[in-house]
Amino acid sequence: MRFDELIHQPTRLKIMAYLTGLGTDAQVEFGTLLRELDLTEGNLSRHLSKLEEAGYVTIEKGYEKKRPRTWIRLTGLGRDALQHHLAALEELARQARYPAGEREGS
Amino acid sequence: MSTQEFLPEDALRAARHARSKARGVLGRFVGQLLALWGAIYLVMYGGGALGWLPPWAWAPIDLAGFAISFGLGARIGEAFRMTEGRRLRRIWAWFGVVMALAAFAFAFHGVEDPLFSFSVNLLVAYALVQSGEAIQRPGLVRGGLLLALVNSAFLAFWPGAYAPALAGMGLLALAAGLRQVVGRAL
Repeated sequence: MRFDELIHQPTRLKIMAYLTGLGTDAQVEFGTLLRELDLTEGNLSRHLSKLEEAGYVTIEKGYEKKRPRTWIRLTGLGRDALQHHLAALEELARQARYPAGEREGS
Repeated sequence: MSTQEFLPEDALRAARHARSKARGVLGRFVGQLLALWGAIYLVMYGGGALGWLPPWAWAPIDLAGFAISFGLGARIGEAFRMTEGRRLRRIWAWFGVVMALAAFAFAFHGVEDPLFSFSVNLLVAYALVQSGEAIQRPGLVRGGLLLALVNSAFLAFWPGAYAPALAGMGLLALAAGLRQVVGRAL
């Protein structure tokens, strides 16, 4: 369980969670991710770059029917980091619901 | 976001929402196809049984159905690259080849309905079972098996009710498809 400062940022958390839903075998096209998460192009690009630097996602550029395409995939490292981060969030949420004093008293 | 504003419950909720949205991608696609082909079966067999649909209308409706299915498949293929998507594409490409060969053989020997419909529906049932296995959707497997059962049982024991039974299968598929699509959109 590790709270990840990089994934903590709300937009990056959404991106990582969405990619986890697809799995590490799947790739999503940049424009689709943009629409699905309701982000702007610059915003998504910036956050993806940071996630790529950390090794949490891979970005593959190519062409399809002569049109440039960018494909994004979650890495195993990214999947594990998100799992740890979500576990840390669960723990924080649990602590918020049941503060230490209440837990000891119960 | 400042530390004071941070609520772990909200972050968890946002993550769950994004994850379930992604997981619904294939479900939505399967739902769209089920609704489309359910409606086609309902119109073709139901309309045929009631005499509302002339026999010549079957081919254009089928072709339109294939064109729309191909379009939906191409659209999702442009948006996502998934192992499950590749499996579905292979299964239905082989289905197309086998069905074309069956149609050719039946046309060559002048075989008509209900034997033609029976064979095509068995192939559809088999492709549905395969698809359900490939993308791990037990509902699709059950649907394929039910189609095979209804198709065989009604042709063997109640041939007069064969078309209405398949129209009923269409209605079932339409309802299941709409539930998938509308349920996920809500």
